[in-house]
Amino acid sequence: MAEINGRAAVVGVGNSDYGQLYRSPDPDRTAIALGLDALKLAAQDAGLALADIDGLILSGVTDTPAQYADFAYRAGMRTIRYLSSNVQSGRVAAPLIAQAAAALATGQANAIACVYAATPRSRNVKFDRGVSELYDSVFGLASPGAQYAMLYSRYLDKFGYLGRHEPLQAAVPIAFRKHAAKNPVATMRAPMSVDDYLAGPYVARPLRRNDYCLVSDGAVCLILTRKDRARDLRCPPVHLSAFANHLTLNETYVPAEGPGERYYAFAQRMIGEVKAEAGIELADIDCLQVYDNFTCDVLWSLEGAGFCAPGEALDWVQDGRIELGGELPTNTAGGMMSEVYMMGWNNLAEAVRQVRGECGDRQVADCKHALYTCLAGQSNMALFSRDG
Amino acid sequence: MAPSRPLPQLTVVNAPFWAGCREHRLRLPRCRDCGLVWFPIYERCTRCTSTNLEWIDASGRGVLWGWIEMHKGYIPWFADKLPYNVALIRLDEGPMIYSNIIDARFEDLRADLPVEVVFDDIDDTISLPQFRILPS
Repeated sequence: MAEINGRAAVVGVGNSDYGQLYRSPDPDRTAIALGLDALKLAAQDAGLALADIDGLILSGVTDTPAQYADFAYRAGMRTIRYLSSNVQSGRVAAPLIAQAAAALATGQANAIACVYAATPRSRNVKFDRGVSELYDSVFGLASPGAQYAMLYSRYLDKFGYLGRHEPLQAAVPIAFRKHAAKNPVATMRAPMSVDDYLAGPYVARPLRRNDYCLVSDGAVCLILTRKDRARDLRCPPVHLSAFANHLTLNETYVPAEGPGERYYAFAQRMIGEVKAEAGIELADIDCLQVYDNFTCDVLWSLEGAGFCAPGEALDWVQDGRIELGGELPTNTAGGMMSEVYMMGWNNLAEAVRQVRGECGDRQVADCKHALYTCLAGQSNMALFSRDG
Repeated sequence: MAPSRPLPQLTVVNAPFWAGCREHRLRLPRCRDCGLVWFPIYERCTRCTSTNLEWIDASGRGVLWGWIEMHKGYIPWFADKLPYNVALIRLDEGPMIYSNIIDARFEDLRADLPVEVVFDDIDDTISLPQFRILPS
């Protein structure tokens, strides 16, 4: 990645008004239309004409990846030099940004729009399926959260938290909710107290409803250009200064060697690559945007990146440490639990905006480096940085 | 109409596993070339891709790797059985298997508890592998 990192920049960001969409589910709403709106906003943000964009990377957006032309044609595109159409899956968000950077760095395009769009809320999609070969439903196992919760119980027990993890784990969703209150387009903006958190029922104990991300309609577009082209555009360029990816394959949906065990080793490898590629230390990271599908993944990301030691995260997140004004402001727009579930793309957009310094009430002072982490089935880390 | 119970879809590939369960034997495929024992059931070794496999009688023992107590009735048949547990077992032979722990409260479940398979004859053809905590 060393040849690629730092040679491409995010120059445009666009997204839906998530709260408005959440409050008005509509079965006729299409992901393509939401994606077109986000693309247009991102192009305006960049100061680029749609005709300047000669590369397209999609995640979701169309019913199947093969239908990319439905989107591209309707976006006004008539010729494309670089095309990559992908499934709608959270773990691929940062890898697709890295793919765009690689394509730009190797001259395959001048400007690439990366678009995520989906309408699971309006279509009443249930995230209730597992891996059929494991006979999940035969044993009553349903929802990705249940599969993560299964490893979370082990983690809690191994590190002596089982039985006293509540209300400690409430600090994570509560922090993100506080941040969402400062984000005009966030879905959930009403304050959440510990009592509110505990009033949310268990879904898969030890996870409660408030430990789960939302199910959301919406779209995000990030436009990248080669670094040398980025300087003339409207906004300060934000560089992808490091990227690392890891996939552990085994018989279950999530890495079963998980919490405190193998996940820690690969997260440590990834953060080592990030620090080496960008030439930074952990202390240089000004904010964290973490793939918060479930509270446990936030805890594991904090430990895996080394912000605290294995087994310490539940204590470490107390007392505002991950809130704005704290040691490591995390998910400063509200994350997937309170802003919107854009499968990581909203977290990436916030990383870019924090580095640009345009976040208003929720801006992290003098933000030079924003780290994105995703410790899901496919895990990755990406660092976004500004010049100098 | 009462919701139907989710049942395994029997195939040529997984039939020996479910036939074993019917006889209250936990049978797993083992690779004759590299020795791997694997689950879920595929027709090839998931390490070396060999199709040269044999079915072994597993010990039926393992440890409790992870567990949940399910409180949401995503699956209609389970909706009136809430809450119930689902467990991830690491079998002594190596593979992981999802199942349930019988006669256990959430508070009884702990990492690495030794467990042993028992079988629940749920209809004329299917017996489900379940696990019980072994006395320490």
